[in-house]
Amino acid sequence: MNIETLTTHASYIAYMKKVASMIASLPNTSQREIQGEINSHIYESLRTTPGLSVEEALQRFGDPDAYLPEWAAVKKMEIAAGSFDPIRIFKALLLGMWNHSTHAIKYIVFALLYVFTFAFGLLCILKLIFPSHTGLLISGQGFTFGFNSDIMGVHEVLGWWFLPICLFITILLYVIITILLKASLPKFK
Amino acid sequence: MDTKIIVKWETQVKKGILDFIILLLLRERSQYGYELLEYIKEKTGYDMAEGTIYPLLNRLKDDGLIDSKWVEMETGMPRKYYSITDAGLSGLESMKTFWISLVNNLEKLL
Repeated sequence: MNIETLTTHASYIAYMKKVASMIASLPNTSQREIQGEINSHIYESLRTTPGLSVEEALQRFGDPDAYLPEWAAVKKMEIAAGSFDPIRIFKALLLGMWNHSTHAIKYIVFALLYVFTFAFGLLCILKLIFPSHTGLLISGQGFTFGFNSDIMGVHEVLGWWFLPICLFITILLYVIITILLKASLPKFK
Repeated sequence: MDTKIIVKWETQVKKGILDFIILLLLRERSQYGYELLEYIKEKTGYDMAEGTIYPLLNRLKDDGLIDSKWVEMETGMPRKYYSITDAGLSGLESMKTFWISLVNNLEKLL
């Protein structure tokens, strides 16, 4: 079997179409990487096994649902972490938790770290809505950095400086966690 | 006992040691995905859905135990060759030590 015969075969086209739809959210380079690996495998399978049909080779390779979700999840995570885009990271973490079972715990830990980080961002919003209840609140018993509904005997010392401080902490934690997430991922080539 | 249970158990055991098997086979020489899979079948008799080896290879790459590179072929499609890294060789030694100890302990029970 030559390459042209394979790539124009109806079953092969249908199979690769399904693969393409499952990895459509990945960048072109990653899509080409995965498709290249599948192409190469099917081609070698047909080349070395006389009498094997394209359908049989595809069946032996397995349904894309069985192997692609995990494969795609890691690639997606790598791209998301590299982009520093919180929405992409959120989506990739969700995908990783569902589809990448061996690293699901790692992704859950990172998700919790992001929730902790965005809690500081949320404090900025609370400061705008409840300025006297939010900030560095000092009382006779100690202090609270955040929000407190009971402000009897408590005074807030940072004032509006609380906003840039919280923003700085949010951004700093976000960058550190994302760098750690990126470092924990494989280096796909 | 139900043979299905035994078959399931055998599959789980083989699946569990697939990382170990891949590293052992890559220690011999660099191999491309299909070649490696055929080698696994030949050496272990483990017949799996072929596509499932690739997430596993990527995971081993995640862990820095193996590396890969595309090689253009004179005829046919390019092949992605996988090779074991220094960290992989070191990890393999630890796995071997554990395996030998496990087998010895199990033999005492048999």
